[in-house]
Amino acid sequence: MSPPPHDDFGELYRSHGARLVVQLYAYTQDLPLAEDLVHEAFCRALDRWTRVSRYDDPVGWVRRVAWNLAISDRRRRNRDRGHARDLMAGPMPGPTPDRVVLLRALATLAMPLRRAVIMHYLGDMSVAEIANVEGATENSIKQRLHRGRAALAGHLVEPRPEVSNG
Amino acid sequence: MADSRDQVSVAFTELAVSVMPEVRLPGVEAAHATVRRRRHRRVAVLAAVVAVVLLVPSAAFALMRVRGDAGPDIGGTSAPPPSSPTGTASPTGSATPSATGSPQGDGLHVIRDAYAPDGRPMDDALLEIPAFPSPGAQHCPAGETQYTHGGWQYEVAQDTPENVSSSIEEVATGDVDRDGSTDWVAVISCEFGPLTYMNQVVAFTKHGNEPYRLLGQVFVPDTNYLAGEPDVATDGVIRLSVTGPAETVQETYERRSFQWNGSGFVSVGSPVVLPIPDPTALSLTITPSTVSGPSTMLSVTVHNVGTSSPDYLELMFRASLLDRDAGRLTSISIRPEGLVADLRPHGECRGTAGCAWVVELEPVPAGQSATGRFTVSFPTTITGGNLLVDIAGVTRGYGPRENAAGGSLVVPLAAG
Repeated sequence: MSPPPHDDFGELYRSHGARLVVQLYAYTQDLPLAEDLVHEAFCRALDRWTRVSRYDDPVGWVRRVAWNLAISDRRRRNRDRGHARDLMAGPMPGPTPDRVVLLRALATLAMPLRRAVIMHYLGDMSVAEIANVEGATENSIKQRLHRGRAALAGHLVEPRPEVSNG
Repeated sequence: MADSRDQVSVAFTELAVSVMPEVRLPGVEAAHATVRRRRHRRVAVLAAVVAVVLLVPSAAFALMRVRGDAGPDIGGTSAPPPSSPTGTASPTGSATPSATGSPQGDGLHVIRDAYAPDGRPMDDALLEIPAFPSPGAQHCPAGETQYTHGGWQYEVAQDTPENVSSSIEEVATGDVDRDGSTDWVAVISCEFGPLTYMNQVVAFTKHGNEPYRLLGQVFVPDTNYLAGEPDVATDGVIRLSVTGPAETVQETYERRSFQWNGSGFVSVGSPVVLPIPDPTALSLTITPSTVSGPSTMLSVTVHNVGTSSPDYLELMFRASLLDRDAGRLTSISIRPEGLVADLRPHGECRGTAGCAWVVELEPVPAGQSATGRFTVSFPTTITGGNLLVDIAGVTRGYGPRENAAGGSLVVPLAAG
């Protein structure tokens, strides 16, 4: 028997949208793009809401769509024009020094590692959930998390830029 | 170890706390409005498809006659498109004559619109696509496939988050089967969710107004590798670049060659692994800092702060708008000074970030800057958003991806 539908699309949007944006921002390092992708994922869910609302985890569906869009967008950028570099190489509006350190550290990770640590730390996803989204084994995800965490830690122990109070 | 875990965890928590207040989602009402529009559009498209099925054959035939769309045929007197001759280091753009390029502004010279119809000869074509052999490619195009604006899309099912899309990424021309007529070599991709992205290189031939006919599958890269930069030498040898594995920070880059043996394509020689060249250092300055509707003249200055100069530059625009109507990107128009038409967006401009406008520019010498002007127009229905402007240098024979250290700027759009 199907679970009862989640009636309130709006509640789902409001309670999970911003958190999803943060995850995709960490991955794409482009906040407007992350907002766009998350909104698009919710639009696709709404277009199929009769069906999606009956899933055990509608948020998981939206999250997967949002990640798919982000990954596809990145590949499209690489493919289309070769603009493979991260947007963070250019100016970003008012990031804090701490944020810069983490984003720069994330940018050094290979994409699968980057996704794994973001899903784990920002998405609170289990190894099994990440493995499901990534189409990888749980052991593979554990390895990615281990390597990603070690690489990030190496960057985070470096001296951080001084915070200007002026 | 526990310390490093805590440190990483704290850093992510700090990131979330600092970013959350800055998140500006359009909201639930906007989502409902978007879905309503899309449903209306699907109905309209269905009606249009019926009309097209009834009307297109004769119209297409007439149009091809008017445009001379048969392309270069026996004798090959027409100018072939976008590929550059092997090994030439000619001045920028000289291999691709531009009907519209002309000096402009204070120095940025337009070569051509990268996605102009005349530069993409196979964008709208019925092609026989060899099946993609990779696992997971069951939804990719196989057999006769109609490409529109260089793209093809298919929604697998209503209850999956995945759509399949295929694109004609690059095209080169030359006489690959040595029969005296021009053939087309296309890099064709297939994308299905995050885990299935692949491409293959296929050769077609075409005589007069006849449709493209499949000549053969030239090359299919291994999983996680991608082919690109097709080039046909005067002896018919096809050269390609192969990069990969995908999704890593460090990629390998090699050149491979293929030749027609009368019944299929065979590899010629050994793959040549090339060093990835140092990127050209470019940056951008744009004024004004905000684009206001309905029309704004953007002054874009490219600074070459490196010590070398690429063969040419690519300036890319991407839009992210608060009017989230599907296909909305086409409602923006971008026209460089010196071109008589708006830039053509790549693909069908559906989805959130699937559309780009690219104009190729003559290079800026090392240590110098050059400025060009671009008119950006958008309708009043768009209430805000961002325009991403991105510059990259291209060195022929290496591909843009290896030589693309440029600058990006985000220019806010504001309703006028």
